Amino acid sequence: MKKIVRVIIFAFGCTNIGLAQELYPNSEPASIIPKNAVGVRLMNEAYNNGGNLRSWNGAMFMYGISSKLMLNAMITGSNHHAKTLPANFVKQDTGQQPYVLSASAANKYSYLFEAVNLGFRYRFLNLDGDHRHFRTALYGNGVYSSRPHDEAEVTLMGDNRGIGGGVISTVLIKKLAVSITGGMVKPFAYQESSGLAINYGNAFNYSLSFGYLLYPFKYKNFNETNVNLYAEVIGKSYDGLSVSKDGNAIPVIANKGFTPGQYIEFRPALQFIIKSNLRIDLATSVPILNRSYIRKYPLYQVNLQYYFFL
Amino acid sequence: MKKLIILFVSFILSNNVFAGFVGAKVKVTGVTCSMCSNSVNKALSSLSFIDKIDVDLENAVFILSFKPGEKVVMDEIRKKVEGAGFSVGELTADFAFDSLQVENDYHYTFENNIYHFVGVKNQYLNKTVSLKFVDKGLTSSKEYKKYSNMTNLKCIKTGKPETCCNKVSAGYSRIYHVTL
Repeated sequence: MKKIVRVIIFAFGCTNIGLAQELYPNSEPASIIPKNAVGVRLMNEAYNNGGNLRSWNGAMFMYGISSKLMLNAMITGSNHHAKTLPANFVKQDTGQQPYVLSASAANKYSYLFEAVNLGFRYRFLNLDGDHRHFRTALYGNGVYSSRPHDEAEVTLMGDNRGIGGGVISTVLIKKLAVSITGGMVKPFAYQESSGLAINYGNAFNYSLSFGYLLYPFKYKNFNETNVNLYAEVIGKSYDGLSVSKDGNAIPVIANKGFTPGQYIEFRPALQFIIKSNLRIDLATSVPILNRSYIRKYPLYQVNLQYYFFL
Repeated sequence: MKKLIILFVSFILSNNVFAGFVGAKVKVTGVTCSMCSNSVNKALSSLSFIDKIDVDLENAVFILSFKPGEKVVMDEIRKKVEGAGFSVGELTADFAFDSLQVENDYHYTFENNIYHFVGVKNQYLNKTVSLKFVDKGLTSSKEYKKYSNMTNLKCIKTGKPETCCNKVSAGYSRIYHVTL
């Protein structure tokens, strides 16, 4: 393990190109937004789902209450879900026994409002040095979503109602910026007035992110566009789902959308920072161990972020 | 009478010109990107006593010019840097001295604050000199430790009047510790 760490440090050291960056497109650093600043981030994720384009959008608003605490609120929308579960979600076998067969992943849906996500990040450890720092933060989120998510993998990005939280540690030493996140998602059941409910299991998420500055080689002024390169490894494991009606379990025919799973994705990204404020992220995602069954690959992402200083 | 007015005006002018902070250099630690520096820059520029900020981005050093006649509060600078998410690694401020004899542990009162000289030799100050702040939060912890060993007075630990300096500090709430 020590050897691997040394190799990684050496590899980043060899590049010899300026300072590291921790403005990760696919995870949050332990650093927080400046006090009294409002950040706005607009996000889009898209992938080709057998000929129709699946698109997800999020608008996140961030506010720095103090040097240690920030709040965030996000609204999301997508064409990932129907308004309610399809009428044939529960089928009946020849003996009139109900069962659930498969997720309706191939369907085409219209674009709908999804969820509201409220959260915080609290940076409780901060060791600053000359061009270096080590920070650790706690984060937590609560999501209200009304969408019928008929897959086992749960998220706090609009698919599920639930809560989540975890720990982030970010270390930054000149050319190397590394951030590690470990978190958990505790989803709540999706329930329809008919008494039909989907019960989800918990999920664990983790990530390891690297970032560094490609350009400029030396900072000269605030108007110079910065170009950053990121490599992130994002992993998740989750339990299977179960379906019930009026509290009675309905058998679910095992398929990869319903059963427990785990996967790791590689997410490289290029980032432009214009006039030291407007941030543009271009990212993609490919699976490196198993895969996620709530999306298709490759996943394309575009984020825009801007800070308003009050 | 005319002479008296001229004398009075020149006395006021000389006071304005000669005693007070002119500018400061703030080395900010933990900063690694121009976006971070920009946040510090925006935070500092909201301080009313700052006239102009020049930034050495490569070294994360902010060179501040103060508005003449405005009261300068070093803790406000620290709060702004910390609010932006970073720390002050070094703060040196240029102070225009009129005429002052200093020695180690000398307490100088200026604009409702006390400036306690630490690790200095007996000397006479009558021009602009750089004062390096050695309080917790205004310098690195290493520098703070180094200078706190140079005085036996307790106030360096708290930055507030302690039993050590009651006589000079009655009525004051903040003691800054500076060296030359």
